[in-house]
Amino acid sequence: MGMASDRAARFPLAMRASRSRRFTLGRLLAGAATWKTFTVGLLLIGVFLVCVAFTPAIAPYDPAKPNFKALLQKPSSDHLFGTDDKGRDIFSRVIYGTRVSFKIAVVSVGLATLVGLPLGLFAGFSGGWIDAVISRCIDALFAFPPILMAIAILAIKGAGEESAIIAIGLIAIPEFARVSRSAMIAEKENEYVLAARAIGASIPRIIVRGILPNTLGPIVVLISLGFAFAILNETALSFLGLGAQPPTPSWGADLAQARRYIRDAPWLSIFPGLAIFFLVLALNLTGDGLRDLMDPRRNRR
Amino acid sequence: MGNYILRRLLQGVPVLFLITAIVFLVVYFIPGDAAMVVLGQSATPERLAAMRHRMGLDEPLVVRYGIWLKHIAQGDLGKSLVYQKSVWELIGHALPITLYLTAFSLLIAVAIALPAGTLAALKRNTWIDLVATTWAFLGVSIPGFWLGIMLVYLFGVRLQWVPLQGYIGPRDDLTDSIKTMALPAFTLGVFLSGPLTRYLRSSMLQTMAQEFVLVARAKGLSERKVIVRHILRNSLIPFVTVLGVQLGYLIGGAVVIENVFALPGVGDLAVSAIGNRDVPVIQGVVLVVAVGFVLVNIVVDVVYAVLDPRIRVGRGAA
Repeated sequence: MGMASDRAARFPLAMRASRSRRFTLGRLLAGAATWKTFTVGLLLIGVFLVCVAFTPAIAPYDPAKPNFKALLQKPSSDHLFGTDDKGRDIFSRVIYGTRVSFKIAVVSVGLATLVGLPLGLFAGFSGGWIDAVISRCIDALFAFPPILMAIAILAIKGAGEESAIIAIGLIAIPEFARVSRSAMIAEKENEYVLAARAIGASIPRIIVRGILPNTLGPIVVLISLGFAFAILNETALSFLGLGAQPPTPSWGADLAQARRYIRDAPWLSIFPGLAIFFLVLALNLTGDGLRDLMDPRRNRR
Repeated sequence: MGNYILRRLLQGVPVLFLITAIVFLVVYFIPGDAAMVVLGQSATPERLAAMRHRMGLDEPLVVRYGIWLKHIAQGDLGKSLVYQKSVWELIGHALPITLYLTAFSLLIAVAIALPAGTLAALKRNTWIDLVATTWAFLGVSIPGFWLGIMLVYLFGVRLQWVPLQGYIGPRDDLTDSIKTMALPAFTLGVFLSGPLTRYLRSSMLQTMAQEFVLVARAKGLSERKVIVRHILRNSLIPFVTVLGVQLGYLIGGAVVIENVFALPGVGDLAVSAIGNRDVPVIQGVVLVVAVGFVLVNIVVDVVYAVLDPRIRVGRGAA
């Protein structure tokens, strides 16, 4: 049973426009609303990317160097976000933390894409018992709450940055496989696939040259939302002490440290959390905007 | 009807087997020698070999999996390597706390999402809609553990309405228990309310566009009856499915939130088990939670089939 087009659900103007047929002004406005979320999201991501690229230039202090003359200072013009219990500049740590979070998120989403995507495409294209077997496995993997699965994986590898990357990547694989599988199923019945087969194109060629470019929409959206998910998981694992280890500047690990000073130095807890929040928000805005821009008819959960 | 329930249960069987296989393999790959953990570093190679034989560690993988399955089927999850207790006993203490937290937060999430989603759909394109959709968006973007810390600061440190941390069971003192649970449950509930609000809103908008709603209005039903009996009721069925699916995220979130509020639930148990390399405990927790998740989803599906005949007739095979 099909679900309401989410575009229609979220942008009533678009729905009204499509009902009354050629009401172009309405369509234009609805399009603009989508563009707006997308642009705001992208701009925010841009800010974070600048932080990643020019970290040492932006951060005024060494993020790891203690300064015992400036312990637990309130935010001031010297220390924009204040200092922690070792006198380290919070602003610098937040800026450097961007790098750590990005690194973990990029590599783990890359891992999930490299494994999940071909798996889902293969299952969707093959159909039959191959699809049934792969789908059951994906179902089973979905039964594990993501963080708990990550914890089980970390039990094998031991806590640390590298283990966190693998754990976060692995728990994202089922979602990537599921989305690419259904994209493939929706696409492979098209006549151009039949035509390509008829003229004798090989199956890998049909998938890579024909089907993949047409399924790119949902996949790109998935990657951008997968990023948001990876950042949330990475910071949560680091918060639990299972991800990036101190003294590496990491938003999650810094928050775990800051918690002890919640009474006397609440600013320690505010800024790294805000950084996570804005990055995840930016990724969600971009992903949602992309979804609406790329394919207005696409259904959403 | 019975046919459908049976079919649904049978579908769950391979998934449950795969879950046990995954948990078993994860544990199989954990480095370290269980025999050495039992005997200590100084054990002689002969004694280690004898112990491995006694523990069945020298058997082939498939045989070990079979033996392990037999133990689980008998309700034996093994013994903690650190605490001299059975894994069941540890989970038995921790699980009720986690269930209490998740149930409480589910209640809060539904209490937020039900009016928010309904109003957003009914008053779409007004400020109410904007507030509800913005809330839903912020809800999924805020890291739960950070929200928890901020709430502790606001209500615990600043306003001093609630204790900062700790757990009080509902049987010890119900009022205090609810007080200590309110913040963690709210934190977790906010996160869940986001997707639920969005989902209910779009599902209501979809129902509202259907013809039977027009018919209901045309035959002169009051607006209230149209909304409650026709629109809301038909939108709630997919809403409950989403609840079932979100349960996994809820439990995952509970693991982290328990840590923030120092609640001794299964999340806390799992995290400390990693620190101690207490393999049977990790294995037990992951297995119990995953199996529970699958069973809950089967129950949800069966409950639907009872509520909505279309499912057991039409989409039963899917």
